[in-house]
Amino acid sequence: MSFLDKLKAIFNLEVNCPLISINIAKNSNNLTNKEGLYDQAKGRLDLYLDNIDEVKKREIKELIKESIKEGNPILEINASELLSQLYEYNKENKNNQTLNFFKPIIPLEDFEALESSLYLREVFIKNGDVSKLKQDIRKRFGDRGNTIANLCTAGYFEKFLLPLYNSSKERFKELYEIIVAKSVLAIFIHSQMSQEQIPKDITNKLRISTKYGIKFIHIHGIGDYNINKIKECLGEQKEYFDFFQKEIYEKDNIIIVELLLK
Amino acid sequence: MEKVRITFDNPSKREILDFLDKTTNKEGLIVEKQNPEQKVLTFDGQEISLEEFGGVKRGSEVFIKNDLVSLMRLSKEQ
Repeated sequence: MSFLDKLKAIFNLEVNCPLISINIAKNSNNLTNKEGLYDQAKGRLDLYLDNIDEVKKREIKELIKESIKEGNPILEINASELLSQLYEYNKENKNNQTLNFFKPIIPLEDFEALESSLYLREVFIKNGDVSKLKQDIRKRFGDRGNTIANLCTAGYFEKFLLPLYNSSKERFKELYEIIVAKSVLAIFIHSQMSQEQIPKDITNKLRISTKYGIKFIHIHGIGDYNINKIKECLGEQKEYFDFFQKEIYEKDNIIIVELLLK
Repeated sequence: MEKVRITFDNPSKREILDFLDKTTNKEGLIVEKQNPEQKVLTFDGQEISLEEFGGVKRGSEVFIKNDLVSLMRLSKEQ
C-alpha cells in the first residue's frame, strides 16, 4: 500500500486527480473546519493539524516516518520551493564556467559563498526578492560572505578577479585576500548607511588598497533612495570628491561611481 | 509507488519535530525527545534551531536548515 493510499485510508479521501504534494499546515486564520482542503489546480492537499484528532495525528506520524525511510524528504514549504528552484538552476549550468575557474584558486568557504551568490545574482537579474538569500549568505559566512555576495552581484569576479588571475597568478594571490576581507574595490551603499559614512569608508579602504597598488574605488548604489544619497553626497562633499578623477555610470536604477586617484 | 512531495508550513514546525520524536532545549536547539542532552545535527554537522529547521532529508533522519547555503549543498548532493 503506497503512502498516498494509506493517507487516503486515514482521511477517507477521494482524490482522483493527480496529487503532487501534501502540505501539513496550521489552520492559522481559521480558514476551514475541515481536516484538509484539496487544491486541484496545484495538485496539493493541505492537511490542517488543528482540525485533526490525536488518533489520526499518530497515524500521520507513523506514515511520515515510514515515508522518510522509504526515500522521501519532508521539507518546510519555502525550503521545498527554493530547493526546486535550485534544481532547475543547476540544470541550466549557467555559472559553471565561473565556478570551475574559481574552485581551485579560492578557499572552500569562499567558493561556497560564491556559488550561493551566483544564484542570488540570477534571482536579482530576474527582479526577484534577494533579501532572505543575502541574509542567509551573511549568516553563514559573515561579513566576508556579504562582501563576496556584493562583489559577485556587481560582476567583480568575472570582470576583475578572473582577468587579474589570468594576467598574474602572483598578483591575484597578493590581492584576493584584501579584496574579499576588506572589500577594498568598492563600497556598496545600503539604506542604513549615512551620507557622512561614504567618504570615511572611501578614505579607509583607499588607505589599504593604495599600499597594494590599487588606485581606484567604485561606489555602488541600487534603487532611488541609495542613488539619491550618492548624488547628494557627491554634491555636498564636492571638495572631497574633486580629489579624484570621477566617472559616473547610471542605468536601470543602478549607479556606479568610479573614483580614480589623480 | 507515487512520488508525492511532502511539505509543512512554518507554524507546524514544532508538531513535525514531535512526529520525528524531537524537541527543543532551553537554547532553542533541536534535541532528541528521549535524550535532551543529545543535539540533532544537520547533514553538514551543524547544530540546528527550531527557527532554522527546514526539514529532513530523504532516506534517513538527517536534518536540513532552511537557508540558501544548506539547500544549495543539498541540491548538488542528490
